[in-house]
Amino acid sequence: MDGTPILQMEKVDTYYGSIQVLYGINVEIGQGELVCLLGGNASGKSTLLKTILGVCRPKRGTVKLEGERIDGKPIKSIVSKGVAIVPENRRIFPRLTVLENMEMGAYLRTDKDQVQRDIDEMLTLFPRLKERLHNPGITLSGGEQQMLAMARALLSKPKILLMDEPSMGLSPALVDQQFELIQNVNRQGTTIFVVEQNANMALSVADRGYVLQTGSIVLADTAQNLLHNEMMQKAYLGGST
Amino acid sequence: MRPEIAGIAWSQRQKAMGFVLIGITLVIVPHLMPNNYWLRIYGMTGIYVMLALGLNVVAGFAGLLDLAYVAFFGIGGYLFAFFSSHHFDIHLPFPLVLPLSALVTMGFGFALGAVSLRLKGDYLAIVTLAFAQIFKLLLFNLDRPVNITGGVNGIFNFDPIEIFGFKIVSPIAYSYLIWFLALVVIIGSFRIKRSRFGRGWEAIREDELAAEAMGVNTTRMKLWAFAGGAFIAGASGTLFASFQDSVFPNSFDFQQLVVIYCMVILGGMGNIVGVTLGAILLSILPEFLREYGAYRMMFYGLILIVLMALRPQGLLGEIGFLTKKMKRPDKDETGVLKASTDLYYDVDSMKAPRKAGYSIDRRPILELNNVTMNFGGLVAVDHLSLTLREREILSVIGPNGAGKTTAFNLISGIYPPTSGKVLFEGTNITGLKPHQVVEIGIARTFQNLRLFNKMSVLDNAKVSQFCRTKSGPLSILLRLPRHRTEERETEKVAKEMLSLFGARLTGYRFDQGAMFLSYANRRRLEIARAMSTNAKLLMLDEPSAGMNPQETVEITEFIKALRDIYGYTILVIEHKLNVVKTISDRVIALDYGRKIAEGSYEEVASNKQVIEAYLGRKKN
Amino acid sequence: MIHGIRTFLYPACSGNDMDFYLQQLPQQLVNGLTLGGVYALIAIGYTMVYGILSMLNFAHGEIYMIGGFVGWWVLHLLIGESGPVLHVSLVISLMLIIAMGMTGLLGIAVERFAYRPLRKAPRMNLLLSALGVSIFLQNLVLHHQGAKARFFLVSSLIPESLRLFQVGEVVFSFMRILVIVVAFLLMTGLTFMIKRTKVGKAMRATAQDIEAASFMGIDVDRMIVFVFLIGSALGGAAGTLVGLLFTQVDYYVGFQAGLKGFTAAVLGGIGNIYGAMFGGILLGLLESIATTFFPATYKDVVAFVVLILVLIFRPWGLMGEKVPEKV
Repeated sequence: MDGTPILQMEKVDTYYGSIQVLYGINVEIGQGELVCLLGGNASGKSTLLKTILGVCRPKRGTVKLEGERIDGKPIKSIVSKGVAIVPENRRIFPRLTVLENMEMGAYLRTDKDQVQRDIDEMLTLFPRLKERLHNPGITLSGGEQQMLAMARALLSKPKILLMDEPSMGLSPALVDQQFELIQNVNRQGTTIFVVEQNANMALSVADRGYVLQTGSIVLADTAQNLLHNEMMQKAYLGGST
Repeated sequence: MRPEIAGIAWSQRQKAMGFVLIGITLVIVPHLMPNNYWLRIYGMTGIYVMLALGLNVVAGFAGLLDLAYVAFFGIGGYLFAFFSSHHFDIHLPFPLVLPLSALVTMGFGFALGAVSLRLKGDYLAIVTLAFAQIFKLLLFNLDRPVNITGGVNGIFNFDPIEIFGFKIVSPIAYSYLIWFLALVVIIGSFRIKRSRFGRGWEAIREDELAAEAMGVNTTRMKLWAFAGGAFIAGASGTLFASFQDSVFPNSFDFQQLVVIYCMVILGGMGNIVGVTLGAILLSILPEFLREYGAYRMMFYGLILIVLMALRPQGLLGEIGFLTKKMKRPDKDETGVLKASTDLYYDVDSMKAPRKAGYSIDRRPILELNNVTMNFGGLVAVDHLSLTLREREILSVIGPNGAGKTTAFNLISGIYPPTSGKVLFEGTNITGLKPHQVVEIGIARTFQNLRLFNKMSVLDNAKVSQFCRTKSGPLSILLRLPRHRTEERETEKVAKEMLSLFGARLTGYRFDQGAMFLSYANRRRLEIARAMSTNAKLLMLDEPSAGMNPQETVEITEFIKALRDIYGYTILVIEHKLNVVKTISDRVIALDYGRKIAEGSYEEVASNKQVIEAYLGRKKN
Repeated sequence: MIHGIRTFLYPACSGNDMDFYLQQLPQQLVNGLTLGGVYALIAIGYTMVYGILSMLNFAHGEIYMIGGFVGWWVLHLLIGESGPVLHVSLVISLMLIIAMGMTGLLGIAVERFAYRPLRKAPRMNLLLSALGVSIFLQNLVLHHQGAKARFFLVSSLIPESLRLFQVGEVVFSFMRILVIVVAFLLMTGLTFMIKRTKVGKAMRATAQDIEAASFMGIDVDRMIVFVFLIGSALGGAAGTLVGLLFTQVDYYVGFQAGLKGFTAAVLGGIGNIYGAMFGGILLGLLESIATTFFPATYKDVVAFVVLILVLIFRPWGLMGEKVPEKV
């Protein structure tokens, strides 16, 4: 990795009240990488993303965006510095139109003309969205909502895009589509950090991966290595057959 | 068993002394009042105590925000006017009118409850408020064409009352009568609070769904809450009417309601001593603020705002006097606050031998026949069929969203399946309400823990005996033998179940509020509570979630013992596959609501489809 | 006795019942629209707050009432011995603007001090606090202004010739037209704002999914303040308009109006701004038409009965969506 990593988490401990959920997390993501965070239930994956975004505040450790500390800052501040998220279950605004959803993605931007150009670009990238431009979000199919959520997040021109369990609630066919989308977006230059339960799928598109188990990182390697690592099965299914 | 009042244990002798003291006080105080004005205040305070305690039943115990409560007060008052005056020329004796009004008002309480059953929180408040407004409108306007209510001036000049020959006319006589009845209400409140009714109500207040899932007939109990409050309010109204010798609409308006609510909230919702003191305080305080006129109501408004922001549990708190013990958070033997989420498990440490295979000849106890659950397009459970045999442990595994908890919800009756049947011991239980399912013998725990947080450990377990007991309000209030026997039995069962977990949930822990327990103990309590329903079949939803390896081993052994020693049949949702391996006779795997594998642990865990479901398919 | 009941229920009972009702209809429609406009303005305040915070702002009725008092005060200031100091349209505009401004600020203050500390508290606490605010405000005004009604010197404001005019069977008054027009303008302005402006869209987004809105970088707290500002201002406008229409205001009007405004919001579908507008107008019409059948003192019952029926049988209102409870 050359240059300052986009995201750095060092020795992060996060608590829910008095219960510790993350133990000494060290994560580094470089410019242009596609990194995934894997783990089973109750591993702490979501909490980790929330810590980056500012929804949770780490008790110990630091989170840095391009070298600047963002831990402890309010969500609005962190988002404005260039962190965008595609939340779990996508969370598009149900009664806003496709266009309005996208406008919300660009909420913090002040360069109106460029925003318009970017929206047009998104619409060429996702022609299906163009067809449904003035339909309310809730009328979109699962696949269309995926695209919309992605477009909305990208419109903030983020330095890093976080994705929380993109395969959740999707049928197997749509999962394929979703990860292809992620791969494409990454190829166009966006740094992406994906939290995912579906290990194989995530590793087949990612550069690197971290595996989280009950709050600690137990594996960190290139995606290829992880795919063939026996420890993966153990971490997920706990023990040999 | 030592009777407890307000969290302090009293011996029989202390209790008797207490009563004598109170009795003497009540006899002396009226004579200490400097003049008639203060005697009337004393009398009104007694009435307010009764009123507040009545509201305490419906809003304090059961947590139902009934804003029509003051209307019941009014109904009781007007009923006295109807039954004992020249208005309709009916002249019934007071010992008959009092219970009669109370009962009729109670009937209205049932009616209001029936209408408002489906409403929650804010909506319930608004609807009851609307009813109160209609009531007041009727009071004002039902004097034409037929004079029923006397309109804006109300009705006055009632018959003087007498009880067993004693004429009650002077303020002193009224004081005795009123405070005697107030004392009756206080004692009654304590009795009902520490009975299945009180526990049922408090469970509903804490978590209505969980209460229903532990066997409490929430519909009936909510009706009883409205009715109970109405009964007391009606009696208070009757007394009030006689005391004031008049009734008119403005005595029963929204302002009055706010005052009563302030009394209950100030003292601490559900806290009988607190509410009594709150009523006394807020009856007397305004007298000292008399010169401040409209400031009075402003003051009440401010009380509400400030209390809610700073001390919503009132001055004395909701759980009763919180002793130091209750405040201390749970610490395990090492002294460190144990609430970790360490879940790393090690295959080698699971040394306990597993029972071989599953018995085919045991009779089926639970059957699911092609059960499907369709949530408006989202199929959460897809034609699921399974059979569970007696004394079997069947584990259900599968990735998130596979439909496991939905299946549990279908069996326990939280919602009926879109199609398919659920059979228990041959009987069709599809579509039964959760408390009925509990009665039949199935109990469950919740994935995200739904304990009755503000209730004590022991009470949490006692709630589960609700469906195994039958005492009604009368038995409880009069402490009839049936009630006493049932209470003993309830306590016995609850303590038995709790003691299965050793020192963790027994001893001083009995009285500790559930919210103060460590995470692992809360999971244990959740199981103990389900067991206290005298269930035959237990459904445990991720019983070991959040426990460290030590605790996990323990709970695993425990679940096995439940089957081996105590004869339970168990359905478990579990993610830690080591646990599954140790306890299961059989395993089924779900994915996208469908069963994708069934068999022994070895068979299922090595099944390709299952592995794919967990780790995900490889990309095309 | 039967005759008594009959007269009670149908005060205008006579031979040509049907004709009589039909004759009344246009007048009732106008009255209904006027009332409806007012109810709609109040209802919007309730629905906006509910949409974003899922709470019933019990104190909204008192804000409406205070709006009426502020309007009265401005009018009082601007009417000298020989009539209004400024032109009629200016007087009325000032009344409205100042009333809206002050009630808007009051709404913000209430949110800041009574509701914000309770963001994470159980719903019951929030409702009780709102109740407390309502009581406090009502009695504050009672204490400050006394129990007697304040009268709007409308007669000095409007020249005789414009006060009433008749078109066919229907009697129009200047004030009724004014109320309808102002209500319509305000609602149109609001609709424009929420549909076309960035802030309006952000408000809608926040109401639909508060967490996702924060992920967009939207300052959720500021949105909430904004909602209270607008909702309260509209309520204040309604108070002033009603004061002009019925020429009086007293400390108690907030309670009744609040309940009716709430009924309208629920009728249309709580949380839905268009629903509030629709529900308000519908309720106004229903109430108006009911006065032909029932004695005037019972007309308030219409609103309460509608409220009870809707909440029991169709709590999501006419334009709302049924939301199932997730276990």
